[in-house]
Amino acid sequence: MLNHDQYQCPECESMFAAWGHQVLAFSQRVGQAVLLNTRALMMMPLMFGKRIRGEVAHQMFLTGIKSLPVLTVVALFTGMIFALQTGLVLEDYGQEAEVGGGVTIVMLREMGPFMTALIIAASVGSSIAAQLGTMTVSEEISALEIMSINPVRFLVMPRLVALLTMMPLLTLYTNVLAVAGGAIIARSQLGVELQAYLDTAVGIARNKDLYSGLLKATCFGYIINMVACYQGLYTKGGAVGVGVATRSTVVISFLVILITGFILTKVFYG
Amino acid sequence: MSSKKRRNDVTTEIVVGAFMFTILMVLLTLTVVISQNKIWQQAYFMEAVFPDIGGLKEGETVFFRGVRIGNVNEIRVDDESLGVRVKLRLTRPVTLYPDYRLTVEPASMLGGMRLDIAEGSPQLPPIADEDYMNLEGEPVADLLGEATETIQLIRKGLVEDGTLDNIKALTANLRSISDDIQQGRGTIGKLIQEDTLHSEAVTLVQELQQSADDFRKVAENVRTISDRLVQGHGTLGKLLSEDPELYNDLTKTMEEIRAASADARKVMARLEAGEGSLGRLLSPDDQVYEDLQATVASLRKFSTDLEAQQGTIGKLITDDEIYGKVNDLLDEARATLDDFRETSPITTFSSIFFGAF
Repeated sequence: MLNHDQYQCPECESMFAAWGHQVLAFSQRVGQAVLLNTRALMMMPLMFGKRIRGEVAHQMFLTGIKSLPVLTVVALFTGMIFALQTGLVLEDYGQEAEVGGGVTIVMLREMGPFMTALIIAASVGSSIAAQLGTMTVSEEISALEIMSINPVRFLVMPRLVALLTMMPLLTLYTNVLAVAGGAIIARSQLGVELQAYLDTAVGIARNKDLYSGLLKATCFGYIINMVACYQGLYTKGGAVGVGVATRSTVVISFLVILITGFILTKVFYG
Repeated sequence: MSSKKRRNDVTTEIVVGAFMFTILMVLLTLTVVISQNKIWQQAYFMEAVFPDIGGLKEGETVFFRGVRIGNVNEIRVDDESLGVRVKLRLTRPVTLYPDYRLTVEPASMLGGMRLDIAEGSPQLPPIADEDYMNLEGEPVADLLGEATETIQLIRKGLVEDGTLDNIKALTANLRSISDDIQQGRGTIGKLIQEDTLHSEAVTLVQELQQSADDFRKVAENVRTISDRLVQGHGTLGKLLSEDPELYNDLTKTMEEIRAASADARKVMARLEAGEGSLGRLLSPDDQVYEDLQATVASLRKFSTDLEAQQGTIGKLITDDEIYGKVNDLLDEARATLDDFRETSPITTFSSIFFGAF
């Protein structure tokens, strides 16, 4: 069952005391979000249950398949923009043939997972927050609890499984399309033959780049689910609260993804 | 659960499953492609110890004769040899000879390193198989150090050896020359600044055009001649044409020349055989020559005697007195003949008359 008791910040005359209480309240919210997601993670073996399996597949469909159109456009143009910018600079040094390597490395290591995470956070994360927030404010969550249906198992875990599964797959999809977009620009704008582009792209990339990016994407999926489900399940204040939860999900997800991305890059390549 | 919802669930599961399967296949393919290892291709390994690898990393490419044939598989610091042991994974076997070279070089201007294998001289026997796991690599070239040294040498040459002063003087001279040219001084200056040479050039061009016209006429004449030759006009044309008459004439002439040559050969044979007067004269027998020489000697003696006024004829030729006497004798003889001519009828008549008696 969800603990809806929130840390109440007392009236403090001292500024430092107020800050301290704010820190405590923040810590409690972070702890609630982490515990919520951890419980969902612990329940993942149950995803093959007869009732849950359909919901998991549905969430995977919503997260993965429904996101493909927007991801296709974003990935293609990200690769094209990056190839054009780096290619124009490399052209000054007569090294435009190396543009394939640049696009591939950047997409595999950083931009692929990052762009995918931003798109999924903005589309799927906000959708989760809005859906769960609406259920919360309309007391559907309470109704589930009254019926002894665990909302974490029924609502959070399928979404977590969907995001953890789909994020690396979508990231790989983004990477492939971005490299293809870069190839289009390299051929049409920079005069680099496709074979030369692919040679440099494959020649410079390493499996570590590929798998570190996919691992990063999995972490981002976990973060998106954690933020979105927490914001949705702890929504207060009716329809306005749902709006606030949705906006907070996008903003917080972006910030946490950025910070986590930096930390992971430092871990892998620092 | 309604059958419609169940069908939707099945459709969703199929779509999600197909998507996951596709992406996982792409992931598998990318993993194989990026690792640049063909799964079923045989790999060949060799190891080399370098004193310094200059930042070479695992996975970087190995080139042989400029062709990528593998990757750096493993790098580890070797305390035993105080170097770095590099294990290479190659896609094809490489035969090395004792003067082989393994060098680490920059892969591009943007960075990165690559390992180059130079096989050595094939005239030498190849190295032993066990040596392929203990090759010796060359230290990385210190490009920055070499560049610094080169710059120092250039600076020394420019400053200390006076090259810079020479360049300054040269520059000043060039500036002076360019000023002269700009002001129209000198041949080149006049060439650039004045119109006279331009006019002369125009005239020259006109003359060249005239020459070209002449040449064109010559060419036309040549073309006319060649046309005539082609058409078989004139002697040369007939010679070149397929008209058999001239050919027959020439053949006949040649036969006559050949007959004359045969006759000449016969004459020469007779001469060589010493037949006839000329043959005897030319023959190796010296008798004729000696006779001729004796005759010439007698003639020379005769002429010498004549010149020395020896003998009757010599004195007759050179002595004026004898000439006078002879002249007188001739005059008297002529007078005697005149007298005889005048008295001959009487004498004749007397002879006839007295003869009858």
